[in-house]
Amino acid sequence: MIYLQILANGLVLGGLYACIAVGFSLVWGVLNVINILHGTFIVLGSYIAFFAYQYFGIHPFLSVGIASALLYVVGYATQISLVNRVIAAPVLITLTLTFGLDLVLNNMMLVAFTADYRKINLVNPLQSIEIGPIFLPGDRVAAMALAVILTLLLYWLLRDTRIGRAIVAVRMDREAAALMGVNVKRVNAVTFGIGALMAGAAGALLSIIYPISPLNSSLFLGKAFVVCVLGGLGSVPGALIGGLVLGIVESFGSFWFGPEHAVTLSFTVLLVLLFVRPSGIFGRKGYE
Amino acid sequence: MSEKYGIPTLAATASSEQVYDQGYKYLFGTFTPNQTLTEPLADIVTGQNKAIKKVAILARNDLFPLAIAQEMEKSAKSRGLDVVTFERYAIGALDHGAAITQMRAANPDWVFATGYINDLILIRKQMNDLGLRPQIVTMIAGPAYKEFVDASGPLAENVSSAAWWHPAVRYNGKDIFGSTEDFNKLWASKYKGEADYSEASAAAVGAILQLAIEKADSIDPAKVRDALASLDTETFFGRIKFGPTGQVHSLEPPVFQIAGGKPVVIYPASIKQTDFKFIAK
Amino acid sequence: MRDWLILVVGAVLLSALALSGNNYILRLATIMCMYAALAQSWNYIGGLTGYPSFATAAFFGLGAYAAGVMQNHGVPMVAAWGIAGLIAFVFAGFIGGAILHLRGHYFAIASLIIAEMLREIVNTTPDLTGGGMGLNLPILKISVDAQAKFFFAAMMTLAIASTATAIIIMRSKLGFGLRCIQQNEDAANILGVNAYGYKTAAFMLSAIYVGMAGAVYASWVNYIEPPDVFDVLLSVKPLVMVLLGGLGTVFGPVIGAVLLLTFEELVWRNFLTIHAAALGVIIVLLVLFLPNGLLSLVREWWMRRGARA
Repeated sequence: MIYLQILANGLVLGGLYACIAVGFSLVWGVLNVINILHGTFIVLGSYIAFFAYQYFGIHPFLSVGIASALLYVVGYATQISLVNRVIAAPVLITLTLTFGLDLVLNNMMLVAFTADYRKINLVNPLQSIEIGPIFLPGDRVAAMALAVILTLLLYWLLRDTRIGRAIVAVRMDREAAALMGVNVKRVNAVTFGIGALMAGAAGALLSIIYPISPLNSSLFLGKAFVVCVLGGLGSVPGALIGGLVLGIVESFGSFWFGPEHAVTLSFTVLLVLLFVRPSGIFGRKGYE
Repeated sequence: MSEKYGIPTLAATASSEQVYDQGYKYLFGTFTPNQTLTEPLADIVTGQNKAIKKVAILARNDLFPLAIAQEMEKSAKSRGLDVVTFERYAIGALDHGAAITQMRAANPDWVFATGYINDLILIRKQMNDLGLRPQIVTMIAGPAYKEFVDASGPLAENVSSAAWWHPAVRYNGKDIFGSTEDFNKLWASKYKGEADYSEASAAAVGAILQLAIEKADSIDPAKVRDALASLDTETFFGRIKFGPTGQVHSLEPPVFQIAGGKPVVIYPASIKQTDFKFIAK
Repeated sequence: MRDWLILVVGAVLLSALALSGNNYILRLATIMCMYAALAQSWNYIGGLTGYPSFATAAFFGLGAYAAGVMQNHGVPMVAAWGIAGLIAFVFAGFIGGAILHLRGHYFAIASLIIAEMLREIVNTTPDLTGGGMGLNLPILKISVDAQAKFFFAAMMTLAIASTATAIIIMRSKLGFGLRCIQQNEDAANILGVNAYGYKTAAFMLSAIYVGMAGAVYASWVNYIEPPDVFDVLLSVKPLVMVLLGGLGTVFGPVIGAVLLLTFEELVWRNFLTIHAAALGVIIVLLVLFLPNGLLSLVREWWMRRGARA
């Protein structure tokens, strides 16, 4: 019986992880940029939701929209002014650039908001859904729903809209796309913006689940890494599946080996995967 | 470092005995050993309610939180309580689902969790999410901070804790701050709000050093060190007398509980504000 | 030949400056030598071979803990340092086998993860390593002054050794092979370069001096804990230093080390709360405007001078 609860824990945790990783996966898969800023973007989304609730009483579900919009702008601007200059450069350069930018943004947030942990306490908190002896925390289920929605939106975007087709074209062949009249610079910025938007959305929702502080950004980033490698790049459901798998692995792993090994466990999974199947579960070859 | 250079060092926030029993002569600390936090609490609980039998302990896998948890285990066992689970979680853990599920399966009366504020906020929330609702929830070292109460909202109610100092204690110090009330007033006028126990300890360290220098009548490091070792005086922080390892032994850390969103003191008797409350089932 | 001359002269000048009597300068010089050793080591795999390794922190921490544990079991200090370097060397060989077949991003992440894993392993083995509580190392029983000079000498030896190694590599078949790999690994393979062997060698070399630096550091500060010696910045800073000075050059890493250290000290002293942001700004400016490092600027200026004459 306890195994059912552990499984349930793993699934909703996985939904959370998927939520965190989906934007990261997009930027990495399409732009081939590892966006170290992603964790900090999530935290920024959380702060937006927090202050919106504290000063204007806006419910975090609504803040998902607000944070998304704001972060899209931040992402777009960052990409078009800074990241785009090095978009075709080797890994070393892009990684170091986003690392440096992250240092700046994170430090600024630390100074502006302090490292004190905040949390939103809803007047009507989301209750846990009880199915028999199993407890499903309502807020995590909501995070899972958000992850699914974001993934579906992305899928629709890439398949059925002009800008989406342009993004796919740029990923397939940058020069050919440019020759076909695609404004590559704009596409890059839109992609990065969408990645940031998803981070902001995830962050807004996470504000009711986790204590908020700039100190959390690297924890989120670490999880995003593992989920992306697990699920595979270049495929839209990759982050969703990767997240669920990681959540279940961690839940059972913590139960069997002890929670103190949870972090080591996820990294071991990552390493083994990199060695055996770097493209992940759904990833396509050539995305390395 | 200080041992190397022969300069006396007063540690404001170190409590684990392992810090002090390395044979250093120049190290002093203003926090009493960890069991002084768990023993009085265990007494109160077992004294008031014989139905409390099972304790579940969850500790962060880190120096101080783990040490306190181990002391709790000893305090519980020595009073005949059954420690049904003892789990440690990783530093930087983002989820406590597995540990809490396991604790719930053991149906404990008392849950004792240690860690830093962010951990405890998350644990308290997940306990509620997953239906773990014991009669006593004790956490160290979160509830002592306003941050915890603000972030946990209604879930902070009735969480108990112990700390090395609390603004509600009343001492008449011979140090520069004088009485605890005077210290609180001075703090509020400079920083607004109340000091927490580590901030007070840091202030105390400065005051104690001053007393030692006055006593030694010199700033020679060796003489100040000896003055510190022989000090026995009352300060706003409490009575200060350092034991042979340099750790202070004379303080009585208060036990408190969150009631109506504010911490109220349960122990020691001299400053008790109210009785300990058990969470209704 | 010119390189060796520069190395010797540089070392002599630095020693004279460091031992001139000011303790603060001495400490800075010691740190600078440590940075230089780390940067040089990274250059073997990152600059020359083009594999962006983030494993520096892993080797550093490994060396620090290996030396710490050994010393606490009675191994004499300098011997512990040497063995720590050897352990890092062998470890890099194993890990290399597991991750060197990856390219680009995946290699970078994998190397980053190694440090995280090692840190967690230390955290969960407190009986051996002190875990989250940290590890104390025995204090040298000599005067504080003598200690400062001794550790300076130790770090400088590492800086000189790593630079000397760089000079030797550059002029050897290994160096040539590594540069081929960086340009186009598949082509290099076809042409008969043993890419796998060479890059493993470079990776292993990048571990020795870093491991020893970690060991010396541990003995110097007498107390280490996991977040300290496995800090990701230990992997990032050497990278930034080499970028600053010039990828794949002999003295680029050293120049970068001096520059970064100077900058750090200035900022730390004056802007404590935003020093991380300041470092971030430096990194961003560097990457955007000077990706080939300072030495490339110098070289251009030199060549233009030559052309005019």
